[in-house]
Amino acid sequence: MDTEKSEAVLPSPAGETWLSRLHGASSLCALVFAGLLIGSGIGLAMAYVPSQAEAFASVLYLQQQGGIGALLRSLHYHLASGVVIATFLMVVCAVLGDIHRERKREYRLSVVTLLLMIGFCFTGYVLPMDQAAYWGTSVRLGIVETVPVVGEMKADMLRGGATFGAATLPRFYALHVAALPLILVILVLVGFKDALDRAARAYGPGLIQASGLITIAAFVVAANVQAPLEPRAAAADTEYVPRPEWYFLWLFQFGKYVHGFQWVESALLPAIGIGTLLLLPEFETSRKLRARGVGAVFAFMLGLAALALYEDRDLPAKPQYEEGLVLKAARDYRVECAGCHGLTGKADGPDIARLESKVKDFTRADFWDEATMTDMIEVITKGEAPDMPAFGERLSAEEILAIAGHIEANFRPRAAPGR
Amino acid sequence: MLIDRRTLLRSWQAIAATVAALAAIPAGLFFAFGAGSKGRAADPSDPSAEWIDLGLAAEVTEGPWKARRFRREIEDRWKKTVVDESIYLRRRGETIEAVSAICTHTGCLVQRISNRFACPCHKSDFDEEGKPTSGPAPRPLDRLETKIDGERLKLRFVKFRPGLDRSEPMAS
Repeated sequence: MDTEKSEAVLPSPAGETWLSRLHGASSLCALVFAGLLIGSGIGLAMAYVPSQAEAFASVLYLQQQGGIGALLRSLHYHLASGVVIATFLMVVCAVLGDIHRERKREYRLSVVTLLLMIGFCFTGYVLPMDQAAYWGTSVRLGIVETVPVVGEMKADMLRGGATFGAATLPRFYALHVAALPLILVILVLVGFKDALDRAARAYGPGLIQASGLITIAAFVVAANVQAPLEPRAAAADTEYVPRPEWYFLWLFQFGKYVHGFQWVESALLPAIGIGTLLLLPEFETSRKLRARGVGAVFAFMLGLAALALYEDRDLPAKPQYEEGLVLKAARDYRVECAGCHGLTGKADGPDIARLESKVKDFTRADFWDEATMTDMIEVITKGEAPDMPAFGERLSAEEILAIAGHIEANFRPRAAPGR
Repeated sequence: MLIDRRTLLRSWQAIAATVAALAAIPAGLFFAFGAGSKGRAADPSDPSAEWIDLGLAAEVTEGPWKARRFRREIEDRWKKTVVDESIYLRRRGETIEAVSAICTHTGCLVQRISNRFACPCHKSDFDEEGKPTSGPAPRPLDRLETKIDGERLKLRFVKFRPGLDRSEPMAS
């Protein structure tokens, strides 16, 4: 009997250290989360359209429909964080304890799984195409570009070209829903076959009960905490302040300090981290040394993340789509409309000189005698010859409604009291 | 048994590995070479590069840099599409200068804060001339070519790769 085999029978719940218990628990969580992510992902894929023009609208539709669609999106969103934490914990426990030496192959595959999970996050984050998604991914691709030699090529492959364009979302989508899940499923079923066998033998039906409890907990969280959705991505918005997800905050902060040697952040740091983890089983290390190493890494990450949060203490919270609508309408009006209609709605914008037609004055009562909200929405959506451009392609129906509302609220002359 | 379990397992794994490789080859090929990863050319001195009309030149008055948003039509793979861009403009006597708003570090858009350009992402600062004064930005903000054509202000818009210490244009 070889060692792999004997290991498969040996461990029993009794006499396990807390580290291997935690390792087991986080592995189970990771597995259950992965299953739920695949399930909720399939649900989301039934509504999601991976095109620049429609991605945001399809996610918004799902979210605003409420019910099962919104629930699945929240579930998918929270579990994405959950599965990263669980996998990370799994690796940390294996490093601290003896698992990394006793079951080298499994340990190394768990490191690969962690990388795969980060790959899922990277490719999934862009899909909703809200402000956070677009800017977070643009910055990250900018960092990928700085990997020596292959960086530019890799960034271009991910984008399907040199700039973020029509080919980008389909590529991220294909990786997120087809390539990576396939690799993950093969990895779990083949790579962790022995571990699954062992766990089933050691805990039996308890595993199914535990999985059920974890699932219920995940649904309870998802039902109560809605996944965030910021306003639709705006590539020319100089007022938006991009910030990464919480688990990349430390790397983000680190990026502020790397002057001129960006490959330190994009290539060296990840290479050292992954290399150390993969080579660890080859070296005889004391438990104390490993504990110190893990402690130092944690202190480094948490310290940087805390610093990032501290530096952002005055940053206002990111407006979500609904609150953002009102703000966005004001800005859209300023940027898109005020050129002709004027900042005060008096049809006195700087661009009127080059127009063929007369611009509508929103501050005149006779404009409002004729115009209904429906007319305004129609004109903003479809445009009006010869000068009024159509916005229906670039703004959602709700954003257009909000602009019409902004015009009405700000420029319509108030009726005289008593009328 | 004709074949022992180990051998069977080995052959099963061999088949699985083969199937995985077969799946990876076409997918990988397309990922690397497919979908209009059209060349990275885009020479800014290319005469066919379009001049974009930014309106009346007289609208840009003397004074500090001002943000300008404009729209341009691009051919994006299978469709023509309209994209928004942001730049900063200022007038210097008879000429109008333009600078890209894209931070040279990782590509966020810089903001105007008092007398400098500030990137809200990794805290790079640039002075009035676009030179980096602090933070991780590897090169000055990229200058863009402008000309005054009669009364109109024209701009040749190019995007440059972030993260490099030299300005390298990207194909749009």
